[in-house]
Amino acid sequence: MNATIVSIVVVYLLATVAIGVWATRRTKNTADFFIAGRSLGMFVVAMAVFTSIQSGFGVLGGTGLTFDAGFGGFVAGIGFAAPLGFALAWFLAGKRMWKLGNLGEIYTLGDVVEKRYASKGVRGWIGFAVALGVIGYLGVQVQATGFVMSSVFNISTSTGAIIGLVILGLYAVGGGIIAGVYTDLLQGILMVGVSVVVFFLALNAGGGILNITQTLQAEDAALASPFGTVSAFTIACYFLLFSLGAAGQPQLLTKFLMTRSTQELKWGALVSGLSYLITMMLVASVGLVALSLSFQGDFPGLDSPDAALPTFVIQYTPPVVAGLALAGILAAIMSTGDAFLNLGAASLIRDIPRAFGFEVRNELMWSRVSIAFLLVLSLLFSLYLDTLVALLGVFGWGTFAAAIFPAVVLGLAWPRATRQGAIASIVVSLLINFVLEIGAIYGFAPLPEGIVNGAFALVVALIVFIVVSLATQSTEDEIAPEVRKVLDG
Amino acid sequence: MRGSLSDRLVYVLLGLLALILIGMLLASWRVVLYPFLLVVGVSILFGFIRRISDGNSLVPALVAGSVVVLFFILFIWVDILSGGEPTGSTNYVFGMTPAMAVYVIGVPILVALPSLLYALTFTREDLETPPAAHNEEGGG
Repeated sequence: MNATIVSIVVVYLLATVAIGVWATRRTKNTADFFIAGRSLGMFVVAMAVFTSIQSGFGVLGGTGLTFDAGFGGFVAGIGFAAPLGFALAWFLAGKRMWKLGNLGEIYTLGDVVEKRYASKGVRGWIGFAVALGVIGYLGVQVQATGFVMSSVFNISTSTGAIIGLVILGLYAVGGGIIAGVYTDLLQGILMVGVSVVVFFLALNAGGGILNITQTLQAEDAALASPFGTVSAFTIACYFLLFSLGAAGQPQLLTKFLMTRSTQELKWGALVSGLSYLITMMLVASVGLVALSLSFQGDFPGLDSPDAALPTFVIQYTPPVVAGLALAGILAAIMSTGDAFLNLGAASLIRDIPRAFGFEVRNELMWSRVSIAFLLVLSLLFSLYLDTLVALLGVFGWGTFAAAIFPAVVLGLAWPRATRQGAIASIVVSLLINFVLEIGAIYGFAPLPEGIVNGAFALVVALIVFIVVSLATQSTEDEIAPEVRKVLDG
Repeated sequence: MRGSLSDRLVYVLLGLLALILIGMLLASWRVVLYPFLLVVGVSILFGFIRRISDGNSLVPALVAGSVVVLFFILFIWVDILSGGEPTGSTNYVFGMTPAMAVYVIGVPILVALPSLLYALTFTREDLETPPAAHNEEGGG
């Protein structure tokens, strides 16, 4: 690998460690570790939201899916829906989450739902759902880290994953969410800058938009359409899941608890959304240009579509840009990874024990220990239990969306929602996602072709949440007055 | 009053979700997408519950209504363009097929619009700061 590329990636990795050291000094207590002491301003929160949502799946996988199926492979449905989801999260939950954070030591989603429903049961189920999703997400991020590190340093994916996780651990264990959000800030700026530059270089490499369109059109006319080779039905499902579902992602919702004041919410959704859209310029342009070049015989054969982005930047951009782009890809993976490590620690040390009436003493120390434990566990899973990672990987976006959006987001906006409705929706969402996603691996697909299982689970979970809540109205009076005021918006 | 408004929004939401579920089971993208666009409007109104309850429903109606109407226009436009000659057109707009151009230019603008409207409709009444630094003692 070119020395310039390696140097830039090394500098990026050292910068994240330096931020981690600084953040460790600032992390004095549990509030600092989980919600940055409620001290964050608009831009930091906005970039942290954007980078924690824009993961390795979005950048590497999104480009690969575009390379595979055209514009509809990722951008038309998933990529354009997420920024709409940011707006919906701000409208539905932004101020409510922030105000709820004023009512005591509210650091986690478990704290939020226990306060909202006066129920340890809901806390426990939310903690369980988040823990499942976190382990699945982390396993995937570990594998993606190994993939990129091996591309840069010419090492095995296992060694790459270990190095990547050690660096992640160096800043996430000590610095908690403060290290997370400030590395997110660096990573977000890097991703946006790289996306703009690579977008124009990609269009140039493809010979301009018209040439790209005509090349794709000549090979397969559908590739020049907005949905590519993906059905409109699937795109509609994606649009639903990745917009409403974005508002149900825990790594987004907990950022509202970290915000200094409601003033800081004002422009946050727009900054997050525009940043995400800019990265879609990279995903769309590189995916389509690489596909166009491959039709012309000018792009190397790939073992996997996920290799489209690293291959393109190495082959078609100057070393400085390629180095920054590869650092940007690592940034996308690591920023999501650190957010999930923090969420996992919150579930293991705070939400699940408290659901059973047990409070961990010295939460800060044990949270740090649990992050180290999660890092080792996810590494062992990805190295030795590949099938388990694949199975747990299904507990990702769709599970969070279906389990969290009804109980947390709609629950904060609808005073008549009940704890029974919340628990029923979480259980149903986990069951549907588990049965459909695991079943799909073994050929069990009872729903129409093209449906997105997570979207189906989200819609069913929402219906269950509303219907069960309406059927169990006796608990409405249990809402504390100060919580009721929060729900009014 | 506030409870009843959120109740009404939830009843509308329930009806739309039932329609979307039917659309999913019938594999009809239109029966999924168009009710979903109304769900977006309902979600925006949830963010304005306090303001509507205080008697100011014009701004919320304009924000939610404009977003939903513009989304409908855009997707119907793409639907019409895609229905005729979706991919084989020799007409190009900014180097793209017409349906692609409308989608690539129109959808990003519309998905960013609600965030812009959120900021523009943010009022002084929305401003709050934490009552006290209760988080200083932590738990660690």
